[in-house]
Amino acid sequence: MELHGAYVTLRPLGVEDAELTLAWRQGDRATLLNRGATSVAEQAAWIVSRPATELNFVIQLQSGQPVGMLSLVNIDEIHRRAEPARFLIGDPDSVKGLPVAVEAMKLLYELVFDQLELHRVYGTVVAENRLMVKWQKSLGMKEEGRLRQHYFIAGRFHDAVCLGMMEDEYRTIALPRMNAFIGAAAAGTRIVRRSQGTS
Amino acid sequence: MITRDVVDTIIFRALEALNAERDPDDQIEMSPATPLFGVDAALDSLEFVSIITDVEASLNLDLGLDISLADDRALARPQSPYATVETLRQYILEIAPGS
Repeated sequence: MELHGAYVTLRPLGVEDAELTLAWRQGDRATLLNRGATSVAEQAAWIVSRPATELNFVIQLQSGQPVGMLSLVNIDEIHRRAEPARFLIGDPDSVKGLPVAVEAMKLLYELVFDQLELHRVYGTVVAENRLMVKWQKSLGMKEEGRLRQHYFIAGRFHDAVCLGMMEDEYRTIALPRMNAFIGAAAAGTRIVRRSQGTS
Repeated sequence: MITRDVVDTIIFRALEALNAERDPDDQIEMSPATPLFGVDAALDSLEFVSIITDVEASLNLDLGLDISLADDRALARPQSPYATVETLRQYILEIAPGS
């Protein structure tokens, strides 16, 4: 399954992505994510072992260049809920000036609410990852609680912020905001292109 | 009444909050010309959304203005309101009631 937007495509994560995604997971930007594999072989084995309740994607630009990863896990068709997870822009320099993160999340939400027809998304973020918490809230998630000392990362415990969003909140709050960020970024891109004489 | 100086103060305060999260040698410049989003911007997308969110919150808390800076009005403009501090300020002054 591939999900196509104006700026990015979400394509399935494959074993051939093991080396690249391991490098992203071991980078500075992933310090507040759960530790995962420590070798390419472990990462490849982890990719192969993903259960049917998960959809794992590589975020790639329209040029085909992979720039990040994003997953939908714990897909539960009984309770009609799922958890966006493992969101990481691994190559920030390549996405500068592009609404890659917002569009990637929008594509995932479209999958959740339009294709899978789920009712709710939810997840936890390390509390110290304040920018990610704020970003998720700005794009429609609501804080639903806090799990004390829920994660053990880099030698100590961290609280987790619990976030969630219902389908109606997605359609009335998240989607218009995401469209605005993507659309306004497109306006900025047009200006840059005009100033460069390319359109 | 909302004024240019008031809006600048709110935007710069959001940038200060962001700088507090960044390395001392990687601070965002406090200037009307500071790019917020685009190829010239020093902010990544998470930081950019953080700025917009903080500015919206301050407009609400400080001035009682419940306005969204990310809706169809932002989409409809020929130039992105998010390009620089100055374009964001102009946009806020344009859409804020009583400005």
